[in-house]
Parts: sequence; structure tokens; C-alpha cells
Amino acid sequence: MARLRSLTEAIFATAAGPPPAARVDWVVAEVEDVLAHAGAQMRWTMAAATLVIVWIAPLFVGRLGSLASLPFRERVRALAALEASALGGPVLAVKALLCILYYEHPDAAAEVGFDAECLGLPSPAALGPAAGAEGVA
Amino acid sequence: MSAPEAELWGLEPAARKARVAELHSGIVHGRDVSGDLELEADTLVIGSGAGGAVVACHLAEAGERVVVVEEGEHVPPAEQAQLRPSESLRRLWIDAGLAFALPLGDTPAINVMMGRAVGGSSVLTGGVCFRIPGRVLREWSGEMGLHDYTEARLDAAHLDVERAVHVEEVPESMRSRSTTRFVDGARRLGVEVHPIRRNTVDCRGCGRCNFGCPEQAKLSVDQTYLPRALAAGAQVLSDCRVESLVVRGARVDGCWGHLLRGPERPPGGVFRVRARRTVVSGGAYGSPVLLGRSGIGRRSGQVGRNMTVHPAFRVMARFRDPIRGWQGALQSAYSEAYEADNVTLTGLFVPPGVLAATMPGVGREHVARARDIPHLAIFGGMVHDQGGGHVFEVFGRRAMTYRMAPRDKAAVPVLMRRMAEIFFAAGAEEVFLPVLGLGGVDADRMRTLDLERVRGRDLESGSQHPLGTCRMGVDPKASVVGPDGAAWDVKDLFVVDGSILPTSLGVNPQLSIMTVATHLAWKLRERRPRG
Repeated sequence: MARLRSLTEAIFATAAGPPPAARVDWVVAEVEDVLAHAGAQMRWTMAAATLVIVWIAPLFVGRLGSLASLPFRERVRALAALEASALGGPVLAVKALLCILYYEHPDAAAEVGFDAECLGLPSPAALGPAAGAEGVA
Repeated sequence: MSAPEAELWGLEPAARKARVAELHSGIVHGRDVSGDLELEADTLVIGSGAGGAVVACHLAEAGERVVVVEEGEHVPPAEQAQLRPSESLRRLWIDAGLAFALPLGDTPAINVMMGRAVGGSSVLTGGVCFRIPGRVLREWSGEMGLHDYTEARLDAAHLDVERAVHVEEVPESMRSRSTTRFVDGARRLGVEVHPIRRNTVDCRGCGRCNFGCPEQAKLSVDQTYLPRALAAGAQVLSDCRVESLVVRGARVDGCWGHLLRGPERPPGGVFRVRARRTVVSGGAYGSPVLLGRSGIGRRSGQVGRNMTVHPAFRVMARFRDPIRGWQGALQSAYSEAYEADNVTLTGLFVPPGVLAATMPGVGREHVARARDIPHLAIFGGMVHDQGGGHVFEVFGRRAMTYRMAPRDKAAVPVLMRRMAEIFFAAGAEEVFLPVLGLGGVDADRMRTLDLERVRGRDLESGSQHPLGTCRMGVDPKASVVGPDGAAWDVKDLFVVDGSILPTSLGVNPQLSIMTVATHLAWKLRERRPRG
């Protein structure tokens, strides 16, 4: 799950840095739960895609080793370069799943101006004390 | 049957929801059953979606002892209304909505989304209701020899379904700004757009029909036909995975399987249902696998083949002013102006996370683009495809492949170009085509794109309409079931679901499946099971 965490931090980073740790924790837990419900084919595909990204992306910024070992800004740059390349398929697949979950977090939804009442986004109480610390209203 | 069950939608909303909840309390959860289970029935129905629920209802109301077994979970409508989209994916959709048809040849990897819950895929639709198009029925009844399948002969069944699920036209006032923009652009170009009909009552327009209606306003079969079946005495069981049909000599005698206990736990006890007649309604992904596993349908070699999916592609457009496309009906307008190109255009919307997933970039670039979500409008286009899909089982797991016919692949650039032109005519600043890695495209660049050269693997495509894998026909060598839904190979076995439709429709299929199921259920009602 450290791999997913490093990807989530990089994909949804802003100028201020990675998203709050509690939000990243929430997304990673949600991904695990979705994959528990998905078929073996999809679990294998996601695991393989994540593995490819983690080890191939650093090569795009001239580094060896895993993505998680790179400094944060380098991680973002490496992922962006891989996504834009002909080998970008795995990034698109993992990013799609992460996006579906990430923007269900009420803070993330609010940050992009999504204000639908009906979409059943979780309440701060449902997210536990970590969400409260993030100041969910 | 008392009138309230036949037309529950006619009740006041609170009374309707209460009555549906009361009847749903009769559904037995397989995961709560300890030990094994033995049942007997006049008719066993395997699957509780648009096909199975309709058959179960009509036969139970005719006085038969009906047992319905469903592999998926029972999530009552009131609970569906509380789910986040991704929770809905996890609990109600096959493979959490992440099933793909493996592409063969110049074909996109198509995300095929199907239901796995009490109510089947009907609980996941946008509520769109189209009759089986006349041109399709002319092909079935003409060159395919299915003489019972004409507009005139199916009219009574069409009417019966439309009444049962309360089909109504979406008024213009309920259109989202996303759809309104598209319609404005279409009008400027002289392209005809029509209002969609849906199976709804008291809809407030929350734009999330696919993930459970907060108002229980979408009248999927779990709010219409299944409550009627339950009121008439049918037994409905969830969490029951059928392993095999029981074949004795030349006839089918029921089924056996395992009681499921959720994704985290191994299956529990064994259930067996003995029935005088068995109806398989597992959908285009489930029925052929069950038949194949039971050794049925090998004579024709057609089980699992001929799958059509209506490959669908969405085009998004960014406008300067806010659109907030989630406010309003999810689907409210369509255009058949390009039917000659085998394309139907239909309005839709998707949750913000799905929209964001199509935004290129990582980090700041991605987040900046995601902030455009309130400014995005979407419209979808589906291809009336020729088929080329195959469902099969390998090492005990279901899988599917799809090879897009050259004619269908040629329809994709037409669809993208037409939708983009319409959005630009409506004032869009840029469009996002379903081409992986392409990013936003303005009107000038759009004119220079050579869309015909985009490879299938670079296209982003989805489908909610797999059909045809146990197709109906008049020739036992070229079909799996006859015009009455009866399997050619064995007695007392019928298939009634989207898998028997012999061609794709070019329109959303739920009403068509319910109509064919009604037509066949009426025939089954007259032909009592043998004693």
C-alpha cells in the first residue's frame, strides 16, 4: 500500500504539496476495499500497473529505484513524464480508480467546486476524527 | 393480485416506499442462512434482473410456486439511495464495475458494466426506456424468421411493461444545463434532438441514477416486478451462486449452488432447488457461462458467442460559464439523426471523480484541470454494433473478448466529430474526446485531427448493454434457444434475458428486455410446467 500512497500523493499534489495525510489514508483504504470486491482479473491488472509505474516512472527522470524513494517533486515529474509517454497506459488505469475515490472525499469534492447534495458523499462524522482535523464543514 | 402491487407507483411517495420496504423484507439473504438449503418450485428463475423479475412476477401472479435465486446482494432501494457512487460499484456491480472485454484486433478495451444485485442491471440504468426499434424488429421477423417479433405482436407486451414501470417523458424543465447546451448546439446545426422516456415517478433530478436513486424515483424491477412477485407468494433469495443446472436425462430438473457470504469470506452451505421448469435469466455475461458449465448448448457452438455491447463513447466540452451538469435529470434527450452511421447520441452525466479521471496531467496540472469540472458538459454516443464479443469461462473464472467490426470502428470518428461540432456550435471553448492522452481540443485543432487514424487501443469506451450471447433463432444449429426462449438441447429449460436478443438494438435495452420477457412469460403461463 506504500506504492498506492506515493501515487496518490503525487497525482493529487498542489503547489502546497501532497494532499493531507488523513485524506490519502482514506483513499488508500477505499482502494483496498474496492479491489476486494473486484474480480481477480482487475486485481491482477491493478497490481501489475502499480508495479510498472513504481519502477518505470523514475527512469523517465533519469533515476533508478522505486518511485517512493524519489523526492516529492521528482515523483510528480516522473509520473507526468510516464503518463505523457507511449507507456502511459498503466498511469491512466491507476489514476482512473484513484480519481473516482479521491473526489468522493468531501474536501476534495469541495476543492473542485462540486457541490451536489444528492451524490451521497460521506459526512465528516462518517470519515472519523481525521476528517474533522482537516476542517470538513 | 391487489391493485396497489400492480401500480405501486400510483401511491403517495411515502406509502410507496413503505410498501416496497415491507415486501422487500420477505427476501431471504443467503448469507444469513446457516447450513444447506433445499427448495422446490414449479418454476425456478435464476437471476432477478429485467428478464427474471418479469417472468417471476407473471408466473407467481398466475398461481405458480416460483423461486428466484440471485447471485448478488440484496440492497433495499432505501439503502441504495444512501450509497456513494463507489460504494454502489462495490456492492451492486459485477467486479465492482471494473470488468473489461479484452480487445481483439483494432478494438478499444471496453469497460462493460453490469449489475450483480437483487434487481440486476435494472438498478444501475439511467432509467432510459426505448421500445424495440421497428427497423430491428423488421430484421428479426423478416430475414431471421422470428415471426412473433413484430411491432404489432409485441405491442401488448410493450404497453404492459410501460404501465408496470411507469414510463414517462422527461420534461424540458428537468434537463441539466449539460444537456441543454448540447440541445442548443444541435438546434443551431439543424440536428433533431428528442426527449427521452424513463421509468420514473416523482424524480427530482439528482443526476445519479446509475448509482441508486435518492428518491427511489427510478422504478427498476426491484421496485416494481419483484415486489409484485413477492406479494404473489414468490420466494426470492439473494447471495445464491448457481454452480450448475441439474440435468437428468433429457430435461433440466433445477440447479444447485453455494450460499455466498460476502467478498471477504468463503462460500457457505449448498443450496438445491428442484423445479419442474427452469428459467435462466443471468444476463449476457452470466447465462452462457452457466449453460456452458452445465454442458448445455454445445450442439450449436453458439453459447457465449455473438455478444453485442453498444460500444459507447462520451465527449465532454468545457464552457466558460458554470454548467454544473449534475443538477437535473441524468439522461433526458437523445438524437437518432446519425442512425445511418449506426450511431445514437444520448445525454448523460457522470460523477466528478469519473470526469477527473479523464483529465490529463499529474499534480498541479491535473488539479487545475479538475477545477474545470463544474464547467463541463457531456453527451454520449453509442454504436449500433454488429457484434464480435465472446463470453467464456477459463480456469473457473468468467471472461469476455470483443473484436470490433470495421464498420463499427468507422462509426467512432463520425460520432466524435458530430458531438464535438454540436458542442462548439453551443459555444464550447474546448472538447475532450475519448482518445487516451489527447487532452483538450479547440475548434481549430478539431478540424485538423485525423480521427480515422486513431487506433482502437487508444480509445476510451464503456458499455452497459451486453446482449446476444444465447441468441434466439429458428435454426438449432445457429442459435441457443428457439423463439419461445426454450433451449434447443434439453427440455424444461428456458433463457429469458438480454442474452437471447439476436442482434443489438441501437438503443438502451432495458425496456426491450422486459418486453421480450413479458411476451415469453405470457407464453409460459399458458404452457404450465409438466407435473
